[in-house]
Parts: sequence; C-alpha cells; structure tokens
Amino acid sequence: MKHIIAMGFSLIPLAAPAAESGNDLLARYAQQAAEEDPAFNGFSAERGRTLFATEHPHGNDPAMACISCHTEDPRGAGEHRRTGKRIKPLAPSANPERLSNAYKVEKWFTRNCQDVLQRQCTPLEKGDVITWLLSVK
Amino acid sequence: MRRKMLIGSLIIGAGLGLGWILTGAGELRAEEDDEHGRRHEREHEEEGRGSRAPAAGPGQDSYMSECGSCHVPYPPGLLGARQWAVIMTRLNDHYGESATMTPETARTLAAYLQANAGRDGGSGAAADEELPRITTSAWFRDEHDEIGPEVWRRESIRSAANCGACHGGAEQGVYDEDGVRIPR
Repeated sequence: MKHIIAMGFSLIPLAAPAAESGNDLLARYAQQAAEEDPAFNGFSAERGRTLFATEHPHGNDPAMACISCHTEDPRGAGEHRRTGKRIKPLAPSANPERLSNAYKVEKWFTRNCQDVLQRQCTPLEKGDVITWLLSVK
Repeated sequence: MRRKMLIGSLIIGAGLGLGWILTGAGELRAEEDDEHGRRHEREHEEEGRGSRAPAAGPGQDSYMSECGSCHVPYPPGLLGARQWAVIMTRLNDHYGESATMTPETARTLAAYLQANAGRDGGSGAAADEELPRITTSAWFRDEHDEIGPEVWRRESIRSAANCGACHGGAEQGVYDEDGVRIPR
C-alpha cells in the first residue's frame, strides 16, 4: 500500500507538492550531511551567512556572489542582475512561501550554486544557508 | 479585445508610472504611430504571433515558474519549434546561466513550447552553435528600430531582453504600443 502511494506521488510531483517547512528541509539535509561526513556536527547560521556573501570570481564576473542578485538582506527583495527581474525575499519571515516547497528549493540550489560556485552545493552548505534564512527575523 | 488590453496596460502603466515618479525618474512617452502599430499587429497575426500571452494548457504553470521566475515569460510564439528545441537541449548553459530542471518538468515544458511555438527562422538558431535570440530577429529589430543603443544600456532597462522595463504588460503578454513607457 505504501508503495502504491509513493508511486502515485512520484508521478505527480508538481501537481500535488506537499507543503513542507524549513525544518523538514533541514532534517533531510542533515541526514545527507551525516552520510557524507560522519563527523557532521549540525548546521551554522553564521557559516550560511558567510557563504551567501562570499564572492566567487570567475569568467567575466569578478564579484559573483549570492548577494549579487539577492542582496545582503534576505528580508528584502532582490533583482536578477542581467534581466532585472524582481526576486522575492528569501527569508520565510518576510515571505512565507519560501522554504515551503522542496522541489523549488532544490531547483534553485541546483541552478544557482552552479552559477555562483560553478559546482553543486553540499548538503552542509545548503543546510547552513537555510539555517541562516530561518534565523533572520 | 483591444480595449481590454488597453485598460489592462493603463492600470499597469499607471502603477509603474507612479513608481517612477516616486523614485524621481522621468518617463518618456513612446511616439505613437497607430498605423505603424496596426500594420505590425496584422503581420504578427499572419505569422501566428497574434496571441502573446503564454497560452493556457498543460505546461503553462511550468513555463511561468521555470522560465518566468528569472525573466519575462516571453511569448512562446516568438520563437519557432526548432528554436525552442535547441534551447531545451542546452538548459545547463542557458545564455550563460544554469536553467536546469528535472527531466519530467523539462519534458512537460518542451511539449508546451512545441505546441505553442511560432514560425522558425530569423534569429540565430544555427543548430548547436548559438542559442536563438528573440532580440536578433528581423521583426524585433524592425519593431524597435527607433530605440538607440544607449537606450538599451540604461540602468533602468539593462538589455533588450528586459521587455518589462518598457512594456508594462509584458508579464501578462501585453505588448501593444499604447502600453509602452520608456524609462529614463
């Protein structure tokens, strides 16, 4: 029975996204982080904030960072620096939609870590950033 | 239809105009040339580009969220089926950025774009060398031939890909000339 339900969900991942909380996401990333590193010792909001603001120069983008588009204050709106498109605040305290949909969270980490870091983020990095975003009131 | 679009663009335009006034930026009314506008509308309808709003149907939600969250959801009819196919095969390098998505979503989106594509031709799309660009097509250049290069570079506009900077109804697929306000 469980398998049937699981199959049903896998067929309609977008039509019926289960609402999640930031803490659900953290639990999953914590599990992944522990699998990658048995010495995993919890997430850090401070590490998350630092990662978010750190510049990663590459190509013709000498100051590429998360804050290039999102700004340093996750309670405020950002702006896509090439297209000018407004980006809603990332902190759930300012925008309750954030961190409520695991599909979207993974999508944006996948795209944006590639653009900023030119690699995928680790579960530890994702958990750190989410911990920081949840801590901002 | 035209009246609805006009009312919609007036409301949006009023909102944007207020924003610009509040931020101290002036605005420049685009030269009105109704005959010019009507001619191009007819041409676009003949080319299957009459309907500009991303069409309803399976895939519209994906289009609006997967594509429309980073840039204006460009009307799918502005590129051809072959051009959209090229774009969808290179999402890992989407004009210099990653636009990857899950394979299921990509399939849904590809089908939607194929179903709503316009005519191929005009803009780039040399198979696997260059990604097609709406802004390099002949009709786009023709429509925007009065806009000088320094206008596109304004901080308030940034690039020709930022339709919404001047077309207040771009998010809703409204591009008629009555709604155009070029920010300074």
